[in-house]
Amino acid sequence: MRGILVVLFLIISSGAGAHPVTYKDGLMVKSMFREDMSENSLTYSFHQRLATGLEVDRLLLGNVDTTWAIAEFNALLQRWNGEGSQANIYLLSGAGGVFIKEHSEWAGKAGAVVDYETRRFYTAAQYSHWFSENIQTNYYVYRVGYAPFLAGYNDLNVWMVLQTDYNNDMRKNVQVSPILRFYFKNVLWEFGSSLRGNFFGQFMVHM
Amino acid sequence: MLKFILMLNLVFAGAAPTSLAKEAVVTVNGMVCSFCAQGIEKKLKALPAVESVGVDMDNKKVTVHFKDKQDVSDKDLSELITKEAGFAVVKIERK
Repeated sequence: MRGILVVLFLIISSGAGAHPVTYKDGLMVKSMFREDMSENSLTYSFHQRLATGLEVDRLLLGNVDTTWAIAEFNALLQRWNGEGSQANIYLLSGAGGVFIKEHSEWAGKAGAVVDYETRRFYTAAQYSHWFSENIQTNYYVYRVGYAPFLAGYNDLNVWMVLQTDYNNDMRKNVQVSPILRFYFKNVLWEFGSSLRGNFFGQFMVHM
Repeated sequence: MLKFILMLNLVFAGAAPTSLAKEAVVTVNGMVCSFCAQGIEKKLKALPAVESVGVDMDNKKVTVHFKDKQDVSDKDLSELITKEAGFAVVKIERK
């Protein structure tokens, strides 16, 4: 089972990117990595408001290394398309298993994302809750971003993002991370470091 | 007589040269990042009648260039951008 997980992880990591839901028939792959956490997902939006996919997360909770393999189901609950803005509310859910050393048990994930974006300003808040028979852990992320210049559709977009996140079970449970975000058409990548020296990298592709 | 007139109408309507627009310019609300707008481009490019698609983020406009003698109705363009890509269509202009 561990071997299958590793293969699944590698496939997802080398593929494409993610948002909870993109557009009908859109495929997204996301890979996020830092010292105490990683998230890798492959998600297919079968409807403009609904998506399903696979997600493999690693969480270092205290001294316990946990790997979560989750079949996810995400929904775009509400979208507001303004003249120069867009805001969204997404719901996240999933079921699968968690692997802790030689032990495994049924697990689930639930959460929500709220975001608001203009061409210059971006903010997002996310709550994620992983749960199993023996583990309950919560993760909160808040982001605010600013684009120093307006880029066109065929240009490289550059954003400066400040991320604050909190997990009740991680050793570095509060982290503040300045992040540089770049995207060009359907490819997005980010890197930064928390003020505590925890490197952060993320890659995302919409296909 | 009415039947005859209707027949004539159909014949001439069919024979009349059609004036198809070469492009449609769609004003779209919610199109604030190129990472998201790529979905609109992908959806439109998949239509057999579409030659190319241009995205103007500054003016929130998507220009759809049609292949020779081909067209996509305003209704179909609007549904594709609204119901499949998830944005709001404000207006469609034909050129």
